[in-house]
Amino acid sequence: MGKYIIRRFLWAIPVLLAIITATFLLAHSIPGGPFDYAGEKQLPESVRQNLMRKYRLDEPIYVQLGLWIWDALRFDFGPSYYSRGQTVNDILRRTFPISAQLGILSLLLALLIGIPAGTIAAVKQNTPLDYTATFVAILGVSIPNMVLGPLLIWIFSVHLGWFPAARWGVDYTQLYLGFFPPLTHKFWSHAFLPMITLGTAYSASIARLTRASLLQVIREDYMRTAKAKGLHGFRVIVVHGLRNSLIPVATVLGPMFAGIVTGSLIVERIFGIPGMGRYFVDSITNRDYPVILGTTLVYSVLLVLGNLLVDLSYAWLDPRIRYD
Amino acid sequence: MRSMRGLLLAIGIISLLLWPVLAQDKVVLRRNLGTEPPTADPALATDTTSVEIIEQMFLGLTDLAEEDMSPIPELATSWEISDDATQFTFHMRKDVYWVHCDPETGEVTELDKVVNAHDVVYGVLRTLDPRTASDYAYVLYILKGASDFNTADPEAENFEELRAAVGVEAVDDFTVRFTLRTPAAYFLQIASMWVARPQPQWVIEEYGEKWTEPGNIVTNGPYCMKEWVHEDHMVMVKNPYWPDWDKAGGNIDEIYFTMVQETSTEFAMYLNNELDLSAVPLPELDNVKSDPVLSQELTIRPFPCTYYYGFTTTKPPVDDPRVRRALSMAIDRKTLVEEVTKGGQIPANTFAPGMIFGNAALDPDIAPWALPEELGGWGYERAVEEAKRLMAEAGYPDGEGLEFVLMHNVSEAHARIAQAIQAMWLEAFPKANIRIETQEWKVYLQTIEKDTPVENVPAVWRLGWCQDYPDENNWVHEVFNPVEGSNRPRMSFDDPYVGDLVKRFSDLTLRAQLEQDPVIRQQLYKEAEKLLCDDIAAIAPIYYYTQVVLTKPWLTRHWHDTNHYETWSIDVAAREAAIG
Repeated sequence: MGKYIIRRFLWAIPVLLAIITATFLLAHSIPGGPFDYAGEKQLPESVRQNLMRKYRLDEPIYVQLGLWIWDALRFDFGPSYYSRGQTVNDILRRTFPISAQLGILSLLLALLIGIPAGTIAAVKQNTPLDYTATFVAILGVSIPNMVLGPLLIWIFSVHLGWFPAARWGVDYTQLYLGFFPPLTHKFWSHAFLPMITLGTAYSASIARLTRASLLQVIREDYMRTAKAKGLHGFRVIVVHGLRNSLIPVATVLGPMFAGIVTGSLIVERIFGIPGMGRYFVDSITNRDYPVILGTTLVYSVLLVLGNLLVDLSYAWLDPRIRYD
Repeated sequence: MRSMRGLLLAIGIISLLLWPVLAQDKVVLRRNLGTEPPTADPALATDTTSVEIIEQMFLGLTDLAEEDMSPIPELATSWEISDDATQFTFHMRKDVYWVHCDPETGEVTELDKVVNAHDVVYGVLRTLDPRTASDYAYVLYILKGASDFNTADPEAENFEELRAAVGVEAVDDFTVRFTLRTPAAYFLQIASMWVARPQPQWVIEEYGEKWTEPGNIVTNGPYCMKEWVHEDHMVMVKNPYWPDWDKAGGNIDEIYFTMVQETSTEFAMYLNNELDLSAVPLPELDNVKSDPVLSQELTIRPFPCTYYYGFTTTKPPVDDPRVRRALSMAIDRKTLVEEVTKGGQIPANTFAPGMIFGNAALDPDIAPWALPEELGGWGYERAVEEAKRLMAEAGYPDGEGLEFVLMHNVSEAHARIAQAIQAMWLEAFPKANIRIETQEWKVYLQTIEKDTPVENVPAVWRLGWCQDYPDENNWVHEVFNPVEGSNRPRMSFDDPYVGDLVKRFSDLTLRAQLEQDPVIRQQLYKEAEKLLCDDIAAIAPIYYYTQVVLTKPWLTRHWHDTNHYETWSIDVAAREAAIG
């Protein structure tokens, strides 16, 4: 097992290098550079030259890539071209924890709703309970965040006045160890609506997956055996059924984790949350190469990590699976 | 019972201790900036958000008047202009001090340094220094030697000489003199810009690029920065040492800026009383107008920007000025602003909007077909008749054989406008084949550049322009002069149809740059606008922008081109009564 993990980590290195190189080349091949225009005004060539020199963009492209990797090895991801005076490290340090807080809370919520809902739907297949759960799940999947978010703001902040309309309850200067938020009333009141918005969409797909997978498992022989042994119905489903049916759920959770933890562009935008979601898009529109690379790297690392965790969880979910 | 009394006593003492704090509640303005300001450094700012926060913290030599954006004294109390308008000497006031704001307590301390002429010289030279790599350094190229210094190699031997040769000097501690490369009547406006403001040398040298962070930054304006939690909020507190509080008349002690990007969320926060003012999301505008309360809080005001369609004058079929004029005529601007954009925008017949010095906006001598009858124009019916006639004369009766691409950058708002205009054109010229194409912003800007091969350029493209400084020079000259401007329409002296008009246009904007008599300048610019938008028809101006703002009834505000919060005031009692 230990060997397996080490091997996976070593494999991650060429994977990340390949991702970075590809991202770097793609980013630089988009027409237009970071310093061609200020707004709609084209910058004079002389001004552009100064900027290119300052940010070492006048070097050959392979030198730039080498310099970037060399700096990145020492955890220095360079300056932002757009937010002058800010480094990519500054941006990641303050936006990632916020996105991760929202992401982790939403994911927990999604699991908390999704798995029980899926289980109930499967056990009570083709009953009104199943139809209701399935209907709600489909609703959850098909209402996009950009509709649900403003709707929730409209109902719960503007009309009922229960929650603030937007923003996150803490800022990055108030986090413990640079990551953990103080769990105050203020924190929860700001977190609630975005958490619901982001969580429900995921909970819906988790519920549907759990239902489908559990339905398959329910018909297996060992389930019948367990029932025949006289075990309690609930125990049969949870211990024998659910655990085996979670493998497909775990499989989607890996990439889902990486995506949700690095921030949702839409939910963060609607609720004015200072997370890193917008940087995935804005960095490309601004041709802010170091930020493009920084955000992509964080996402890739989390994806690699998420997939590793998923693979490890297989062994726990199904003892027949072994890694040697 | 005893313990009860003790408790009451304790409460009494605590509230007595707190009393002064509670009594002096600060007046806080809550405003959404809409985005994180990319910088707070006057040398580096290029966007309106950065400029807004810089405006609060750094004074300029001149300021722009609220009513007409004419230059008025700020740090400079008076100035002299040499007879040939190449030397501008500013006399500065001696009572403005640099201040520092404690990021923990918000306490403002006055430093033992008066803002002086050397700070201005340092600021100008720092903006121009190639190592600063300022985007807007080129605005200062009007200074003698500025362009040479800004384009120099920092390693070069004569670098220091080039720096010393720039036309800015401190004559004495409170007199600063600028020497220009050519006469420029609009230099007083440039002197108001952020790139020419005093900067604190000792702070910048100590902290480098981090000098604008709270705790480091040293400023001289009416407000100073207490907190800047990037992408979340910024807090500015009143600088009590700023000498003009009595004159300004505002009562805002603290400004809490949020950075929420989504306008519909900003609007919800406003409704929820979390903000004192807000923009209006376009889809909500009709509701706001019909709402009895919100309509009272709504203000729609002109804003110095113009939305226009440009023609690539070297690309058939729009190489023929008759086709360009016909297309411009067939845009029903009134319907467009009323039914599509809806923000109270004003139909445009010229490039520069009102408020810009030298503008001829809404003057029916120029492109009267663009104006509705109530503004003295032709109205659309007559315009479209003439458009059909011109189009037939150019060889495309009913648009037969007329085929071109209209391009805009990806955006829902631009798409709606393009589709509306395409429909108007097809209504007027039913047999035409007009395609709409879109590109991502930066790719788009490159596509419509004047050196892109003509086969890759769309015949018609959209752009907007907002002022850097309120003078026609920043408009017709810098954007369209065929020799010195960007000239995206590719106007050329060799144009077989309008070459001589283009020559005339070019001469006019160059002459107006050197001319000092404001009346003559005005005439020159009016003729230039007529050539650009009517005779040559290199562009079809579409509308002048407006700002659409909701303001809570307890807030009294002013309308400077950049917000001057020191003049705003809040009726605290009214706000508390309303919020409860």
